Amino acid sequence: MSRLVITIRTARRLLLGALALFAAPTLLGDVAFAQGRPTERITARIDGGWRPAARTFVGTTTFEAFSELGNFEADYEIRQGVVIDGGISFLLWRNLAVGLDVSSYSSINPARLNTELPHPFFFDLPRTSSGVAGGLRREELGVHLRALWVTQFNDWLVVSFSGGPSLINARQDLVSAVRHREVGFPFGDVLFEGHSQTTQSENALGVNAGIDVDAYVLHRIPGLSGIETMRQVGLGVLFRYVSGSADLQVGDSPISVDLGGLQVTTGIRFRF
Amino acid sequence: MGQYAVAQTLPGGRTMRVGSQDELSLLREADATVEALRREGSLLVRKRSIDPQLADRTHERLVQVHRGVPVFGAELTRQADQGATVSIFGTLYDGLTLDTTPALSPTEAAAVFDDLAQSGRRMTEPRLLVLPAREGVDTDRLVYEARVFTGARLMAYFIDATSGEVVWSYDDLKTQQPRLPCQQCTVGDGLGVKSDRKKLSVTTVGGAFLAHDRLRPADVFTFDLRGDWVRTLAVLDGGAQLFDADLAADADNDWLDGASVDAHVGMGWTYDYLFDRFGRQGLNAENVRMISLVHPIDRSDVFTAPPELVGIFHLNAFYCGVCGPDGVGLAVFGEGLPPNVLLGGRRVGYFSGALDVVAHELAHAVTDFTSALIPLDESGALNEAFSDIIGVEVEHYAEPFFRDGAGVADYLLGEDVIEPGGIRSLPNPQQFGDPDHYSLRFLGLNDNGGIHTNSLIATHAYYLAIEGGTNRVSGLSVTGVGATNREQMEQVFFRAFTNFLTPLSTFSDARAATIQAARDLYGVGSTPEAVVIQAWNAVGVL
Repeated sequence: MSRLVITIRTARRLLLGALALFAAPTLLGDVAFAQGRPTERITARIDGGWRPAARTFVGTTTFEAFSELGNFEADYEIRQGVVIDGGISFLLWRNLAVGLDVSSYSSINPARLNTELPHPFFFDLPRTSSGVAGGLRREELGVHLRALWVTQFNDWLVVSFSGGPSLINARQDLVSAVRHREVGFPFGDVLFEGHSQTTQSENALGVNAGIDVDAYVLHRIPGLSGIETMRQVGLGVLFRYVSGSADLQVGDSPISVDLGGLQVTTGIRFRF
Repeated sequence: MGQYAVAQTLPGGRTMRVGSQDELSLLREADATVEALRREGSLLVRKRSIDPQLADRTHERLVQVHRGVPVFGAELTRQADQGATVSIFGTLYDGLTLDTTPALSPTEAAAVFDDLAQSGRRMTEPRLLVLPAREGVDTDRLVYEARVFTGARLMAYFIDATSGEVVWSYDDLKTQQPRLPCQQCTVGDGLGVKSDRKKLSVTTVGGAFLAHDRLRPADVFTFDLRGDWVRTLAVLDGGAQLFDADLAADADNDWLDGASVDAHVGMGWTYDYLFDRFGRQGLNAENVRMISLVHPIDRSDVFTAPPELVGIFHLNAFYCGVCGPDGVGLAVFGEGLPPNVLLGGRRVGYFSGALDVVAHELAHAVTDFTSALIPLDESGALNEAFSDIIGVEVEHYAEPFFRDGAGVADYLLGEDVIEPGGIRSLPNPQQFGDPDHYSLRFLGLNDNGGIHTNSLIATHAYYLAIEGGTNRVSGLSVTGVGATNREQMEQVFFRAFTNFLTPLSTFSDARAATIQAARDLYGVGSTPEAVVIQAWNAVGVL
C-alpha cells in the first residue's frame, strides 16, 4: 500500500515560489509577453530541490521462534527528501526538443515495527511489541528521457512542458530481523531491542511529466549587467512528477513499492 | 476451650473453627486462648506468610507442643487483617499429661525403623512426637515417627518411644487412585501421548537436549528411568542418586517420547497455573524444584514384575513427599499397560498423558507444604479432594494451550489415561461408585479410610458450587457461580485449603474454612459465600 501526501503548507510554498519567479521580471520592468520559438538550441540546467511528498508501504516478515512462527510488520515511511537534478535538452524542430535528465533523491526514514513473538511455553499465545527502526535510507537515481515543448515568451522567460519515460534505480534499506529481550517469567512481555537491516536494489521503468519555468534575468542585476554571458544564464524552477514502481521483496512477499512523486527543484540554467 | 471448641471425631481432639461468620466475642476469646497458649509455650509459630490474595492479610501456622514435644497433627492457622485476628482454624488436644522423656534414643529408634524397612529404606530421621489417642491408639503415647519406603508403600510408622513397638502406621504415598484390593479390579488408569504438539522448556548440554526446565523460577526436571524398576526403587528409597544422564533427553529437540513430554509440560503448566491464579511461587511458595519420574518400569514387565510394583508403576501415579534429591518430593507417573492388554475393558495409557493427573500429584506437594492434611480418613479425603480440584482446574486453565484436539477440559479425573471414562467424576461420583453425599461416605479401612472415594463428597460440592445442580441424595439445589466465574471458587477453595486447614481437618472444617475464604474474598452475604454454603449443605456436610 502506498499513498501520496502533499501537505497544504507545501503546496502553498510551491505556489508562492512560482509566483515569485514570475514576479521578479515584472519588478524589473519588462512585462511584455509574446509567445515564440526559443532562440537557443541547447539548454542545460543544474538543480537542487525537495521532494515534498511522503509515502508509506508495509511489509510483513515471518520468522521461527520457540518452535512456532512469529512475524513482524514493518510500516515504512518514506519522508520528504533532497533532490539533486540536472539535464540537458536539444531543440529539434520549432518548439520541440528532447532532453535527458538525471535526478537523485535520498532520505533517511523510519519504520514502525509491530511484532508478534511466540511464547516460549504456549502455542498461539504470542506476545506483541512495538518499536521503531530508524536510519533506513531510500535512494532513487532516475534517468528521465524527455520530449519538450518549449515556449519562449520574450527574451528572458522560457517555459517548457515535458514528458517521457524514466528509468529509476531504487535502493531501499529494509528491516530483515527484529531483536527482543525477554523480561522473564511468566514471559508475558518482551522488550524491543533493535533490528537488523538489509539493502535491496531494483531497476524500474516509469514516466515523468514536468513544467520548467526559466527566467534569464541575471544580466539585469546591477553588477552583472556588464557581463554579456549573463544573458545566457538564468534561473529556473522545475515541477516534475515521476511515477514508477519497483517490486521489492519486502518481508515474505514481493511488494510493489511506489517510486518518484512530485519534486520541486530550482537552479541555474544555461542556454546556447 | 469455650463454646467455640467443638468436639470432633478425634478423641480428645478439639477443633477451633472461628471466623467472620461467628460473633466477634467468640473470635476474641479464641484469639486470647491462642495467645495464652503461645505465651506459655504450648503453641509455637511454625510459619508466617503474607497473603498473596488479599492485601494486609497475614497467616500464621502454630503447632502445639507438649513439654517441648510436638503433638501429632495439632496445628492452628490464624489469619490476621492488619494485625487483627480474622479467623482461627485447627485442632488442639486438651489434657495431655504424658511424660516426654523417651526411653529409646533416636539412634535406637532408627534401628527399629530400619528393621521395619526390611529390604526397603528409612527415608527420614526419627522424630519424637506425642501421638494423642485416636482410633486404633487407645491412649496418648510418646512415639517416634519416621517414613519408611518399602518398595510399594511409603509408610509413616509411629513406634512407642519406650518399647519400640509399632503403635500406629499409615501409607503416606499419595497415589492418583486407591491401591486396589486385587489386580482385576484395578481402575488404573491413561504425546505428547496423544500426538498433540506441545512446547517443552529444556536445557541443551553437550549437543543433547535434556528435560530440565530452567525458564520457570522453579527448576523442573523430568527423569526417564527407562523401564528399570530396580533403579526406580533405588531412586525412591534414596539408595541411588539421579544424575543428568537420567534426565529425559532428545538428540534433535524434536521430542517423540509422549510420556516424557507430557510429564514435563504438565509440571510446567501446573507451575504456571499456581502462579497465574494465586501468585504462588511453586509448590512450596519458594520455588522448590519439581521432579517427575517417567518410565519407572517397562510395559512388558507387567507380566513378570511383583504385583505391588504393577500397582504403583504400571497402574498408578503418585507423589512421594520425602523422596528425591534433598528429600523434598517427587512425582512418579505410571507406565500404563501394553496396548493389547486391557483392564476391565479399558486401555491404560501413560499416566503423565493426563494433565489432571500430573497436576493432581503436584497438588499433593502443595498440601504437604501448607495444610499437611494427613492422608487418612477425612483429612486424607480432603487431601485428595484438593488434588482433584487442582487437577481439574489446571486442565481448564490449560485448555487453550492444547493443540490437535487434545486437552478438552472436563470434571473427570484421569479420562486421558484410562480410556474410556477416567477414574473419578465430580459431576456424578456414582459413575465410579463414589459417594456423592456425606451420609454415603466409606467408613472402612481400605485406602487409608477411603480417602480417594470419600474425596468425591468435597469435590462434588466444588462442582456444584461452580456449575450448579441438584444433589442426587439430598435433593438440595445449588445455584452455582457459573463456569465463567469459576475462578471465584478456585480462589475460595485454594485459600481455604492452603491457609486455613490443618493436618487433621475434617469435612466440617473444610466447610467452615471455605465459607471464611468466601467472606474474605467476596464479602459477607456475597454470592460466592451463599453458593459455598449451598454446596456443602447439598452434599450433607454441616
